[in-house]
Amino acid sequence: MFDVATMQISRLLPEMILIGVALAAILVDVMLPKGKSTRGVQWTVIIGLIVVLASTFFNRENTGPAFGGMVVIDGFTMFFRLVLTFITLLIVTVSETYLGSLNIRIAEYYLLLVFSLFGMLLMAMAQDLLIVFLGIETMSVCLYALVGMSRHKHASNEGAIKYFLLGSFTTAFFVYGIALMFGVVGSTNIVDIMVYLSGVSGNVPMLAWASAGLILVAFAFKAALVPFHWWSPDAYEGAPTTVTAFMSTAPKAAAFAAFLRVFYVAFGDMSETWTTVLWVIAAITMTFGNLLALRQDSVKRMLAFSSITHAGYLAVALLTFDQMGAAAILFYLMIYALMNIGAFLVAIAVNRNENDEKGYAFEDYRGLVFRKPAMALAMLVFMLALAGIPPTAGFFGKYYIFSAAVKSGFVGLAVIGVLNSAVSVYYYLRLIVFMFLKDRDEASETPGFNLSGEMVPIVIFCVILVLLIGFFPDALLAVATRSVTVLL
Amino acid sequence: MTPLDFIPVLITFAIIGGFAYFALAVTHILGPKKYSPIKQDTYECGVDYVGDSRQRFSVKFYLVAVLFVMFDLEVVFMYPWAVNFKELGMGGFIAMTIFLVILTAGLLYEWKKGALEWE
Repeated sequence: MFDVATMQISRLLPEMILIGVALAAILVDVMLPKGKSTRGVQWTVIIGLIVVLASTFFNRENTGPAFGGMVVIDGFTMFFRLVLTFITLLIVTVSETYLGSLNIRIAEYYLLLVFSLFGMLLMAMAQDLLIVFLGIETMSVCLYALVGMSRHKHASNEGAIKYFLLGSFTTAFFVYGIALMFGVVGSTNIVDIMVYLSGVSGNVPMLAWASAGLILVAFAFKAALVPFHWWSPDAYEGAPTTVTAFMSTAPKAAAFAAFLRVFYVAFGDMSETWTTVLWVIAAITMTFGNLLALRQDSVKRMLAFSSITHAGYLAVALLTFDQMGAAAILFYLMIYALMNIGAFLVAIAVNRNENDEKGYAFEDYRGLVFRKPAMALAMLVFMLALAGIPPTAGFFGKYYIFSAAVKSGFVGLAVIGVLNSAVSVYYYLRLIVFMFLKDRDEASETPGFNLSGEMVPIVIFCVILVLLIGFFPDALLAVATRSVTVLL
Repeated sequence: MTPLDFIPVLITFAIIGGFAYFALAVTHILGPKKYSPIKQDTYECGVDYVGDSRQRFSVKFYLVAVLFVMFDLEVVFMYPWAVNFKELGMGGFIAMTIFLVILTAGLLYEWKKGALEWE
């Protein structure tokens, strides 16, 4: 019987507000004159997202399942709600000037960001494979369009079409996986699957293995793990840089959220096998991402490949299958978002000509420290953090991941990981070295080398947080550890 | 369920496949063969075709099609609600109102963006 009270709708208050924000932004968009600035929409979304964050905070005691167990609101959901909304808020704040420089005055940019955020929130709270699917699709369809936002640029279209084709192909894998699991268990609910699989202890039917494999492929694609990463460098490079910053952080976090919940809770009893599969995937992801990042001459592409490597580190933490590893993932996702968004923002400022095919070259950074010391300093912090050098937060992120791996007995993989992170220092430091080189012809310096107004506070904010978490990692780690208790 | 239980399925497949090939073979052997330009055409009856299928046509057709699907589905969703209106009560009414508000915002959006105008 239809009964609103049993659905626990109040637990989804932030999501309902988010939809309200999207509708309000749509109405603001159609009321404002055409072809003009999209500031109005931007401000609507900024204020709306702040309200969403506040409602998440004030509604944090209201936990438990909703919609008959289709979704569950717990500490884990709360953590990702805050992180994902926060990332989207950062991106929305910095977008307007950058998009203006690209001549993109499309209010739908903000709407797509909000809708894809909604999809990611669904992924974080899903307790049913169908809701995971719904979330992934809501997120992905928006991202396909966002990647192709620079309609007149060849690379943007190329990235979008590649992402779209491969993405929809992966969707089929995921749906097939769900169908097989339904055939075995008779339910798509994650808790039901867990109960069933622990009931048949050790004697898991063949179809369940096939299903878990297909679902693993789909998640590996969304998280850009090798060998399912082929879309990501082109999509990251073609997309407008703010979209790249968004794509390499938020959807990755959402993918790992769903990955964690599905594999830790539902497939927990099959862990011995999937950890082995992930072992191989993690090892080749770290190595492959690194080796290709070494060869890049474009900072944007280097960051794209480095994002693959970081997904590899996260996969290492994922396969430990214990609380410490899961907490390390949450910790790392948060700080990775901060340092990556920061690095992309500085890259936007340094890039001279967005329409130039050779944009984002390492060469542009030559002598940056003498011309723009503050900006160079910020980039220095982000690069050190990405490389995992203390006292930045990046060090603790990697430290927690590898110590979790060692504690769970994956010493070999931890060694591969540490070696890889030593290799990665090369290309991060290469950028730093360029910044400290003397300018060859200082006369040729062109203007437009500045962070636009709204980017300055965001970059400063990222720098401060990266350093602050580097000095005091315990608070964030405690929150992350509390959040993952529901999984194991 | 053992693999043996699926033998009826296999037999069904065999019969289906066998009949398809049988029907093709029989029409090929027994059927009369008269060739004429009309018989050789893509569609023997109906309206004559214009150009080939690779012709480009306006994106507006897609737009209309997408909008049609959207509002069509909306009506499909409303029928069962209307039939069960009394049983669903106030909760159902509020849910449907929210649904319609979201949809109306979408309608307003497409209207203002000019998706409803052909030229």
